Amino acid sequence: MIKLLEIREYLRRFYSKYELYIVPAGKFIIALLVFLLINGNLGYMEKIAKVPLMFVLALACSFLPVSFILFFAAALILLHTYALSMEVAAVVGIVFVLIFLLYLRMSPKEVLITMLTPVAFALHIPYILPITIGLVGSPASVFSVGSGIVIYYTLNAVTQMSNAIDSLDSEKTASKFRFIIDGIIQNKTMMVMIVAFAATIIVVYFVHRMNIDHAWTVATIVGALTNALIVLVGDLMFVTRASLLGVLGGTVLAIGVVYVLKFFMFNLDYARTERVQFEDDEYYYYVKAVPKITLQETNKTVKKVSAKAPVSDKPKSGGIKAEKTAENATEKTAERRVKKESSLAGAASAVKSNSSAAKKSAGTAAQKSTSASGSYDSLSANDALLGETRVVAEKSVDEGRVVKKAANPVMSASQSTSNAGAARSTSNSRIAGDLAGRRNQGQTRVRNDGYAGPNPSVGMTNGETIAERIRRERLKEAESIDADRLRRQNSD
Amino acid sequence: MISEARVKLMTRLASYEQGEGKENAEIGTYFRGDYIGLQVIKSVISATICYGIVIATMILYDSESFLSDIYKMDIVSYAKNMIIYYVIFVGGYSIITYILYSIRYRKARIKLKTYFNNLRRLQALYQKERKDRVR
Repeated sequence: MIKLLEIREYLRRFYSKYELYIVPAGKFIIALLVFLLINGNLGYMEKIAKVPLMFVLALACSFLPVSFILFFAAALILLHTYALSMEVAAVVGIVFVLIFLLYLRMSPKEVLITMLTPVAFALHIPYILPITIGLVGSPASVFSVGSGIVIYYTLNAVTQMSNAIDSLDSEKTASKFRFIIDGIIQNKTMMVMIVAFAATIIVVYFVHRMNIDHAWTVATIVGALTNALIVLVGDLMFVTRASLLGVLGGTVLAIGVVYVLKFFMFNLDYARTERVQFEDDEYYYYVKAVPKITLQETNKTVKKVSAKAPVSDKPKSGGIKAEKTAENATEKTAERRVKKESSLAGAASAVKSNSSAAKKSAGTAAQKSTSASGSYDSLSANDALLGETRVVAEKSVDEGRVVKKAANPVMSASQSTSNAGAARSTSNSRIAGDLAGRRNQGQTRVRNDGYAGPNPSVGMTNGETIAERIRRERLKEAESIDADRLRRQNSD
Repeated sequence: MISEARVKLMTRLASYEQGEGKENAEIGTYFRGDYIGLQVIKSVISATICYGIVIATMILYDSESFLSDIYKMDIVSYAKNMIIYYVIFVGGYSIITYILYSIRYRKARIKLKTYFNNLRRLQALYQKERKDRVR
């Protein structure tokens, strides 16, 4: 079980890391599958029923929006049916136009469901669909699944009647037309399937949202039973010749597949890496937001750079180490373990296009760092910060903190930019810069109000006011003068 | 100087604008009545075209008997039935469209409200930064 959980976490990390490549690859696979199934079942036009052409089309679809897969699929179907018969192409075209005008116009996002429904039927695994869609989608998906079922059974009717259509006289257009339409409208199996799938989706949707234990499992089983019941009752009423074994076997298989899918894909937030760009008056921002993944691993791989920050004149090794660590951290942002359980949040990494002061200072900080002090344990996991700059800058923050403790403020501009209390960062840097080199017996105190003068607390006892201090010093002077006079008198 | 809070907020705003912000922005430019009215008009046109296609298909399906019976049948009552079916079909489709787009408009307004609140927060951050620089 633990191994399965680790595999699931690995899949989530893999997806969030390589999402840029996975989505086009997924589109390519779906498009290729759809086009090959169309060619396999309807390949009446030999010119276009070629696998290399399908590969090229699928490759094009991988870079285009998902709706283009349906567009190319519809075009292929119309060309194949036109090769069979013009009347068939007209009927299929009418079906597509009706579906587009009535339904897809209102829900263009559900094109994928409309496309996957015929594919599931063609692959003989149709019963997975309504349960999956009921768990993931909404009751409105009933219409997209219904559209997909209509498309499948239309093409199925064309495939089954292709021989009969060929044998009909080419002049009898009206009879061909009627023959095809009868094959579609009088298809009771299609009606039963539409009703069964619609009822299953609605039942699964409402059951999985109920406040009961194991709602998803209960919804899966109830949905599968509903589907099987309606299909079998429909078979009894309309004699659709559905195989009992096929229905039951398909239902059990559907439950198994949905359970596996549920484990790996549902209940998880597959947050995607997002890339955005914007600008303000000073900078252009190119931001890559990488989702953090909750990790519960036994092996901690926290990278501790060093425990303390000794003051030394050998910045290079520490700097290089910090830079390397920064680079590694930037590359493996999604995999970085801060603590045992870090909260899920979006971590943004920004790469500034213009070489800005922060970047330069980050490099300066890395070079100047006496040692790459601090560890990743101290990094905050809560805020979404800029990746590269964050890593290097936070290193500087840690260095700054440690250096402050050692009363040796080695300051850089990056510390001011990366400080979480950004409002005080500028003043801190000025003060720290002014105090650089001043060592008042460890009494250096960084103030937040911009005061950069000598420390007025030096030389004062606890609880003493300035007036009392002046009085004390005058008394001391007076005593010293009296002591000198007495000494002179005694010597005389 | 780069303000991390501001960059975080701007990142989230840009992410929203890239995604669902595009659709919601279009919705946000309309008043509720105008938006729903526009969608209902589009639905009426689509439903009319679909109804026309279905009637044409039915006539083609039964063209032989239709042409032979056209002189015998009561055209007025036939036309009346066609119009009643048309009104029922288009009316039903328009009602579904009205309900669907009312829900979409309400959801879009909520997201737009959040978006504008975030824009105000961004403006407040800018003003605060300007004040800090002046000091």
